[in-house]
Amino acid sequence: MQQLIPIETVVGLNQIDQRVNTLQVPDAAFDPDGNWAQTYTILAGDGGAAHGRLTLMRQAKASGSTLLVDWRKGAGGPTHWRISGTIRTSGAQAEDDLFWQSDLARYGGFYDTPDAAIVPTRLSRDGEYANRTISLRNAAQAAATRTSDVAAALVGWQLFDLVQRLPRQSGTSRTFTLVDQFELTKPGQTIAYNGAYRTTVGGAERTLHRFDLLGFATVPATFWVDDQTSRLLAVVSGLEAYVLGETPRGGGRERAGRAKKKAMEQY
Amino acid sequence: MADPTPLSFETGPSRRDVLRVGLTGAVVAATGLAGPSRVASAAGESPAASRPNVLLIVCDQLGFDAMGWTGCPDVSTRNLDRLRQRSVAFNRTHSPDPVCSPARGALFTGRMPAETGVIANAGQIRPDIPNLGQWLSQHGNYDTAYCGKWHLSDGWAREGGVPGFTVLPVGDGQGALVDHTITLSCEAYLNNRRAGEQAGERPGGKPFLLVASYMQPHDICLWGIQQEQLVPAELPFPQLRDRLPALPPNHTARPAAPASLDRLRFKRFKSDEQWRYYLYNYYRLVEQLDTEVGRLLAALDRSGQADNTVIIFTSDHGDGRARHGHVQKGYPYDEAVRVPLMVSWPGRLRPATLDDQHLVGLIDLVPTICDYAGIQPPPKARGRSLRPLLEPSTAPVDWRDHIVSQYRQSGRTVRTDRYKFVRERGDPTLQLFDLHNDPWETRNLYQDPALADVVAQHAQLLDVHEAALDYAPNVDPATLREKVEA
Repeated sequence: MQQLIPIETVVGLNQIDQRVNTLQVPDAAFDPDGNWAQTYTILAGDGGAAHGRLTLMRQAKASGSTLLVDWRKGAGGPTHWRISGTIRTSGAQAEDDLFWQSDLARYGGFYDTPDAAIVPTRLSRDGEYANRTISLRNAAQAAATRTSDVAAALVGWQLFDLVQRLPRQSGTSRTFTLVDQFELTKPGQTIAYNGAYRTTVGGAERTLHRFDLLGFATVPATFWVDDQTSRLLAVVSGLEAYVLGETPRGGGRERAGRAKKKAMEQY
Repeated sequence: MADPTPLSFETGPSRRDVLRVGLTGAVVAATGLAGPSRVASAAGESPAASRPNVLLIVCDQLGFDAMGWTGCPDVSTRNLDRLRQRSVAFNRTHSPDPVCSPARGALFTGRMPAETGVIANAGQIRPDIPNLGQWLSQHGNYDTAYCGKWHLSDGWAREGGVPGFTVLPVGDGQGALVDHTITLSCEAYLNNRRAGEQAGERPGGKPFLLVASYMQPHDICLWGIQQEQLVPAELPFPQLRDRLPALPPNHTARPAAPASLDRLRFKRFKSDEQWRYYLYNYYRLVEQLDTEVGRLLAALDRSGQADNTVIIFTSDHGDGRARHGHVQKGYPYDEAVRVPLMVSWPGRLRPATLDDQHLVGLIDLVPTICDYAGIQPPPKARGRSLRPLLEPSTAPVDWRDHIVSQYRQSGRTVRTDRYKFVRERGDPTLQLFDLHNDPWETRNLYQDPALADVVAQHAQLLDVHEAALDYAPNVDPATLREKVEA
């Protein structure tokens, strides 16, 4: 039996300890290779304020899968920016033969017209990864931009899906180019297994598997996968965190508000 | 003073190939260089006949030498490196005050912080001084739009919250949650303008001033504020141990300094590894910024406006980055005061040019932009138009021989070609650095008898500067600090 580690001392999770303390891991059966849907609350890195939510829906295919992404940014209130997209894989590996398309839209102002898209601000993107080449296009672009000689690629929030199926063995890692936000090409990313931690989640002891994401333009991040259910429970970097479950709008702003106020006023 | 050296590149060198600038500012190496570029001359052209758009990219807390093209080995900034290839890059650019709000107040007015009244964070520009948006929209017939961090009365630009500008709102949160929406909002703005022009809704070709005010790499502040979680005693990612940046050579330098600077020094990191891990994260944030700038510049290219747009890239101030034992900003050392500045306009300005000689500052941006807009700068603007330094010319440029910055309200710094002199009202410890022989600012020479005249001359420069200021009502000229209500 592993030693129980207080959540306050677990790297990454200690930033969102209050959230983890109230996180209820769903009991329902979960197959990371099957069809599923999960919603995450997006938090500031200090774990307090809810800044939006991410919903992922995976549809397994005979070969490959489709991942539907719905990322909504709102400062604890109305949706402000929304990125919705589809990522399709047709190969045996997640990073083989990728195709994606996304729609990015700015929504109504801070204080009015919640969830009403401002039509002129809608932007669209699509791209693919095939034959070691990443191709990116958007509506205003006649020709695609290409990045060649890419050994492996993952798109946006695809990591949230993949990490639930990665081997949980020390020394296991995967290197790839990340197409962040459906269009930002960030080479040299590595996600690596970094051990199991016995800690307390939602008042109950659980074993979590830690995966570390490091690379170009990436603030070190930890991904936490529940041993029992294989669900990804949380992703934490210094700047932001994703925690499984939805938080009511406007919830949990106090602590982050203090930290941000301090940061902004002092500096 | 000699003209800066014009350099140009063939095509797309990597950051490893481009110009390296040492901390002395000297050109160390240049590979892949071609001969002088062919640049169309703007001489003889009336400013009003070629009023360009202006894309002003302001980032937050980016050090002057924290990019790949400056020779920093710890960061990869391919987009900023590319921008540098088509820009005049100034290597001696000074923030008027190395803290967010005072710097921004001065940047957007061309006036010193003691004049704008913004001498601490979150202050407001005094109402009788116009900001750039007000001036350009009223006198230059420009469309003015602002997106991102404002921090002059509020952190983020909110609808109706930035006088003279149409605000493109982006929401709240730290940089990671905001910077990409800044890019997208700016792209949408450019797309909408293009659509409007194609539909004939924008007669007269009204140019735009678009400010993209990014947050990064400012979020590194969180690594200090939340040090216990983010920079614990034990390296949280042991696999990085061999990849952490080296500490700067002046990390342990403690030259005699005003007491306020000693108080500012960051004392919570107990090991070199903690400092180096802080640096590692800082450079990842710089890379995040770089990817956003790349995305924004690509959007500008797609908008069809790139050839008629002056791009200005700068930062409000730098970051301590372990130099002198500091993190963050608010003190007069180069790591906080010196900022990057790159200016480009395809075919009009000198590309791939490093200006390593002229002392310039953020207060020069308002006069420069007004110059290209074909209008006079606002009254009493302290800065000077950079135009003579940007455009191809063989004529020598008569330029200033010193530049003043302030810090923490009552601190003043004057930089001349060779020296930096620091004086803080009410503190007996002065500072004098010989930046030619001591670019890392490790030896305070103010008590060197051989340099007494130099000290006196620089003190006089500050006296003259202070006597000429039009102090804001909330600033006490006697103390240089904010007036205390009775």
